[in-house]
Amino acid sequence: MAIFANKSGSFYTTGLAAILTLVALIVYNSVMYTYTLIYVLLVAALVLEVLPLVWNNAILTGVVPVVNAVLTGAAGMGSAVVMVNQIAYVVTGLDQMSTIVSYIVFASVAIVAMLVNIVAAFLKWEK
Amino acid sequence: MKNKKARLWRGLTAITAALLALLIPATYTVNDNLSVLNSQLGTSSTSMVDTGDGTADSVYYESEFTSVADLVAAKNELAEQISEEGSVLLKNENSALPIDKDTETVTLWGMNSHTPTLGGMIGSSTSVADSQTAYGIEEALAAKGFTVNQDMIDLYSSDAAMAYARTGFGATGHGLTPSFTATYESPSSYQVGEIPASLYTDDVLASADDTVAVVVISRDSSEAADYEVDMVNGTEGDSFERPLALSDYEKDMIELAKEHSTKVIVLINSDCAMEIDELKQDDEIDSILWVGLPGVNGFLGVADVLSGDENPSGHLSDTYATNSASSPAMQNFGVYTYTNSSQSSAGDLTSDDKGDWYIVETEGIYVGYKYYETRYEDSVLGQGNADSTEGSSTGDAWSYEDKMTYPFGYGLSYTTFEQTLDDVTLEIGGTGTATVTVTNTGDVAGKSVVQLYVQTPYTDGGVEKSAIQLLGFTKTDTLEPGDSVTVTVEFDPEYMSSYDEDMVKADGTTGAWVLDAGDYYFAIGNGAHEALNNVLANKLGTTDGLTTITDEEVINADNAIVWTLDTQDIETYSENVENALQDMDINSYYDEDVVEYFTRSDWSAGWGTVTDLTATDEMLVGLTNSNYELTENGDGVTWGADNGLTLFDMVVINDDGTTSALDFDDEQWDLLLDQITLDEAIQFIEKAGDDLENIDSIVLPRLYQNDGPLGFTYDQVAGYATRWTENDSSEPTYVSSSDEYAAESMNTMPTEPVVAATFNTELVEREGELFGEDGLWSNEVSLFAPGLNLHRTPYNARNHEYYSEDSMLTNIMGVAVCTGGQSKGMMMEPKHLAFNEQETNRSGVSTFMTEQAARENNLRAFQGAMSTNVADGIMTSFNRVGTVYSSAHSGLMTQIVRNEWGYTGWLITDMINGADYMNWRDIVAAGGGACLTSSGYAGSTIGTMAASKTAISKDTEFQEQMKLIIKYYLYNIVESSAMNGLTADTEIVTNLTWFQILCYAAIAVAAVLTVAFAALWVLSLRKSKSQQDS
Repeated sequence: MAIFANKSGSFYTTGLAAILTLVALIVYNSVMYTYTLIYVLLVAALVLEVLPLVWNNAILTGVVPVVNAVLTGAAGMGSAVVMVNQIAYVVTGLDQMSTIVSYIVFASVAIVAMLVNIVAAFLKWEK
Repeated sequence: MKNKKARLWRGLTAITAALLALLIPATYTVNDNLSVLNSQLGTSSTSMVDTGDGTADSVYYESEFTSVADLVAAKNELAEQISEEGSVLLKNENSALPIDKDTETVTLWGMNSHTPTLGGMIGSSTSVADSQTAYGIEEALAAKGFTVNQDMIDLYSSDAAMAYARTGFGATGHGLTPSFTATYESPSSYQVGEIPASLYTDDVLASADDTVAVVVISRDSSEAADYEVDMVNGTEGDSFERPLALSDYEKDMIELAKEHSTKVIVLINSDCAMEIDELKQDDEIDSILWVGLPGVNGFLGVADVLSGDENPSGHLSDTYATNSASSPAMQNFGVYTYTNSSQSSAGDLTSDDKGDWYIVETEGIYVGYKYYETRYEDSVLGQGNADSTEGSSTGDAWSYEDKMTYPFGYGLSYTTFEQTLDDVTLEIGGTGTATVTVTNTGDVAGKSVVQLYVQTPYTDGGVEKSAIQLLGFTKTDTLEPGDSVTVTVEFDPEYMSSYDEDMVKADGTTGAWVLDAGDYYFAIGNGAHEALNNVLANKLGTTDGLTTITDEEVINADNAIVWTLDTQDIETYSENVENALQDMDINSYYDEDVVEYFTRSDWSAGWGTVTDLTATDEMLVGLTNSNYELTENGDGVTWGADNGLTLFDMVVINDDGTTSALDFDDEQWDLLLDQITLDEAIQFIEKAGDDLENIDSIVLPRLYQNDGPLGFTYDQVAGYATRWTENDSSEPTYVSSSDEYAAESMNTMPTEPVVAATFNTELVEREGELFGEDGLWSNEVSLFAPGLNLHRTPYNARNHEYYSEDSMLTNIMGVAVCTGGQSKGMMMEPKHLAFNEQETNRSGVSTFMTEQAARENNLRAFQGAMSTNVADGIMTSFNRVGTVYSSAHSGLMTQIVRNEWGYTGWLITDMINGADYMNWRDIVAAGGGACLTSSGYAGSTIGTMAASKTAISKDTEFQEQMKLIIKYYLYNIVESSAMNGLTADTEIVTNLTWFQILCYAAIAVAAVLTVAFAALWVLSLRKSKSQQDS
């Protein structure tokens, strides 16, 4: 396929980050307490991850890994703002682990997406 | 990007920028939860600085102890004494008790003798530090010098036996599983934790021969859990008819104990009244001793009772029915869901509403003994279809004898007492006094409880009346054999009145506390049943047809005295009173009655279970929350004024050196409140978590409030040193982190049913004093205790946090413990106002009942402590009052609490567990107090108060309510030990904690590196481009 022609590591890791961000977005829907800003961050990250895959613009491909690392990292950590009480309830035995499992999955995926974006920042977009 | 260096700089930029992206929200979260972190890490964001000459005396509440060690010793001693006096001897054939420690060997029977339940889980847990001993029965008997059969202990300690032990929720001695989440199905199983008979080897059984069997039967307790009638036994191979009845394994074990022992003594280790009639009827069971859940020290007291070192003097704080599932209250207990709930396709409710469930308390006022004894009188008098088959678990005509095992208030002693009711005097609008002579007619020294009951005149078809109700009680000092003493029982005649929802008073308002004209019978007795029998004997002039259900009961017509009221009185106790809870009557929402409430006019009616209710449009208003909308109104409110006052200016120093507040209506309060900024007010109300926010503008320091009824729970306050910082080291009660008692648990008292069973207000007031001492030595100002809800049914697994099924016993205990705590400067904050009588779906369940039942039972339990203002604060309940969340119910929070009771304490919600239905707008607008959370509203639909600041600032009425909420808190806090350390010259200095400094430093480093790497990245790109161009 032409879209993959001559592409290098940054392209593929950005693609992987896009998939992870999409997963994070889906999982976030099932988190107990959500925060609208997190949806904004995730959607922005997803758009910026997909855009250079289909529009090969040098500035875009250069900046996207850095911006996306910030967006996915902020989403992962920012989501804790509204979940910290619930986490405390579970840690102190006031509530059950099942109430925060989806949050843990979400935060983990978001942080992995951030790491993948960081890796992308070290790699070339094209061979 | 083919420039390697550029990619390196870009990658490094990504790392540091991502780090920045993590650090900024993390720091925000840290700052947002600063109070919690401070409390956990022992840090402080503020410090109090005395800008005066340092000579002012700033200790207003002094400890009676010179060290925390002395306090701990006093608490342990009191806890033991409470269990001694709170253990209830129910049966003692052939003087099987006490046990002679010198000549008799004890065999402990039952797996739960090895894993007994000491307290509840969560709010009343009995977690202690590793250095402390939590005494089970094994440890207590060893400590008290009993000779105990070790072979049986070894059996129960073995892996084979421990496989059956209750270890629910990670806690030994617990089979319940608490849940904070919504449920649409009843909990299905309960693990009794008994072992099968097959595990008892011949050798072990032989070791028990010729020993005294002490059998332990246990049911545990927990917040956020309930028992259900249809539960199955979670212990493999075991079964029971109901979870509060004996299981097959327990019965088998008791049979073995009977076979291999000289005598059999059964300990009931449960705060949920069990069904033990077969033990009572079994001639081979010599003794039954109820010990409840005695906390970590209580079994030491139980051991003293077993040995006879102490003579039991406790009386049941609950009815022990033969089959408690057949009571009126049990007809509607558990999970009932609206047909148009969020689980239906109707779309009327969402899961965020937390409004899917309801409970209709059709029993009206007939809870506990008020049902059994009232129906008993009606069966004796042949009225109200009392002998119909409805409510009879045998299928035959209802009979008191069939239903009752041990009545409310019953209890035996190792000696015998004779009580004579000498006189009763009272003045309506004043006080009442009963005079009673008590004589020890046995041969052992002991204490005797005098219980005073009243029967008020009832007219068929009129206002519902219990045939007998507790009015007051007292306990004698220790009486030697042959000694006699005359004691008085003081009571408030107000509590003889009944609430008539239809009565129209002279001022035209509807609803009144009524004293009907007619004969009032005052009676004493060993429990409600004996007192009622005395009334009936007096009334009928004969004992024919009266039923006694224990050999020890005595019917004496002379122990009832008649007092006559000539004219009905509807005004004396009705000042400011009017109906405020009519919306709790489910029938008020429908054109035709959907529910039949219990009435003594016809005991065959009311037995239906209320299912498949559909929430009407009117009900949905409350169920969908957020009823108050912020609007632009009024002339505005003053915030942030510079009036030069501090909170300390509101303090009046009493002659004894303690503090009082300026009069509530003093205009100085308004000037002080004007100084607070709107930001501070918002923060204080919406973040009133366990750590209350400081208000710098009036020099209110950050203060703490924690659970619970057994003392500050270890899960929240991990020892005396937890709340202190080095800045406080000059305080006389300061406990450093290196102190021997720094990590000592404070939740060491017995559970409330045991406390209530003492019927000893002196002990309970002393308990309150020691809670207050704990506050002084742990730098805690407020204790969320006592629990003042009622034991509506034995199936509420949180009964361990509440005293009794009876509102007056609860009322009097509440006053006593709060009085003690308040005297030491502790803000006592009872919970949960109101109607939180089941844990299942407590977060949001609609609670319906008649206004009479609400006021005479549930609310009367709170009324004593609140109307006398010995309660400085009140935690409200999770449930709805009718369809409106409790804190948002202005009828309860304002009309009854403020207008009728004259309560001047403050109000606070329970932990925000459903931010939309427990929303700050409705709470504040209804005068429901502050919100117990640190960040619970961040994820709610209406958002945080802070985010609505602009809208709030335009709503004058709302802001005035905010001020009032804060004023109530300040009014009480200046009368507390929070004033210790403050003077007129004190200022609050804000400082960064070490972890905040770390966060900011990390942000700064990451930001600098990001900029640097980004610059290098750009430079590298430019260089690369210029090389390509050239």
